[in-house]
Amino acid sequence: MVICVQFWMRVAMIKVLTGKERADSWALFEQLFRLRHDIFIKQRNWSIPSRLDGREIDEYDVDEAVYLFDLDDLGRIVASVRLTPTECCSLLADCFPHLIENGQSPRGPDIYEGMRFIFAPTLPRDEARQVRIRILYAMVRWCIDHNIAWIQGITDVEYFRSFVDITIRTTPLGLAHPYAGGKTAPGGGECIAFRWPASRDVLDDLCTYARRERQFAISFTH
Amino acid sequence: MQRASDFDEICAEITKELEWFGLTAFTSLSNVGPGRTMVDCLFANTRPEEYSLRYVAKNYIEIDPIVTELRRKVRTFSWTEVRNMRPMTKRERWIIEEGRDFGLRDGLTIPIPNASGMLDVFSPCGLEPNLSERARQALEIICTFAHKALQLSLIEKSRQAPHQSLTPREREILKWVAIGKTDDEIGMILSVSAETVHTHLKHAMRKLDAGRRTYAVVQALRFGEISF
Repeated sequence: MVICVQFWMRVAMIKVLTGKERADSWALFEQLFRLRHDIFIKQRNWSIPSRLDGREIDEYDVDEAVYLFDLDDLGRIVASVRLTPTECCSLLADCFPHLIENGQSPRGPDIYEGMRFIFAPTLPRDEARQVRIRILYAMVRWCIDHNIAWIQGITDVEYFRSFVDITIRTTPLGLAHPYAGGKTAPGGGECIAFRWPASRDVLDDLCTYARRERQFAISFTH
Repeated sequence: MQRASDFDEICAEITKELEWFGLTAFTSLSNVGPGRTMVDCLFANTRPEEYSLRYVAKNYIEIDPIVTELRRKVRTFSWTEVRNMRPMTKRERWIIEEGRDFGLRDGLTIPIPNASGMLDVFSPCGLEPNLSERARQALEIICTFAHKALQLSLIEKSRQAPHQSLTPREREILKWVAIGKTDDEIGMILSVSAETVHTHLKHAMRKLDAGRRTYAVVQALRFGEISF
């Protein structure tokens, strides 16, 4: 499946694949897992299991996972995000339940979890911003079309502010908690769990954030 | 805050939330950066008016140790942390003492990167607020939403209600207000009575839908009625 996101005069092709399609799109997934390794393990120094083969793959890269890829003209990944159905796969429920302080369950048939959000590190700042909005827009749009009510995630508290800047409909699930030794430790910080409603209001907010008057034109091709 | 849309209603809601932590005032600034003055950046302020006008008139933004720290490192910090970090200069101590005289002894400075890549800042303060670790975590969330709600309400307000243009005299008086002059001082400069100044200012505030002089200056700048 491909989502076309028209951004002004430029059409970005957001490819949507499930975990079941890994074998058929082997090269693309290879690229993804190596890029994830570079970004999360080498650059951000995350303490997550690292394979010796230079790929970052975790227990949530399952058949049911949904991957969105923003690709350039040469088929290189510009941005990507992974969505998992929380009923079977939830990092928040399994490893970070303490981040939920409002009594809500991290799992539900209409809640998907957005994780491993990346974009190519070599992008200039303005382009990175546009790419980020595009992939978020496509993610929300995919969820709306598949009757998903909420997208939840975990983010560093510094990035949480930018999610609120995009849309005030961002809902924190609790306060921030330290990770990896806290703010003063190398590679440490504070993280927070939050949700976005998968709604047209959030799509509108993304358009406003991108400072565009016109709506994105979205179409699906198979 | 997600539901409220009226600027004053949002300010009241924010004030109520902050009171839980012993915070009695706040400022909200947009696009803070080199070459930008306090008046350029300020879009919400509930600190005592006399203090705010003095801060702008004496250009404290250039020597305020809080601002200096924000320029040094973009992170959330309390005013007490800054004072404990290094010895204050005599001018910095003066600014701190002035703040205390107005019941502003400690506060938080929360930087918020914005859509255009610049920095917004939300800063609540009070005499002896609760800024424990847990309180700070809660306040970071509250203040992030507070800032966004204020911004949205101002955008909506600007969109709905085109303002009435100011007269040349009203513009002139607002410029003097912006640099901290009182009605008496402005009257002497313009060779009119303080009452006349007050009347012109009242008309300008009504046209700009501003309840306070400082906010009238902010609105006038935003609408291009005055510039520096």
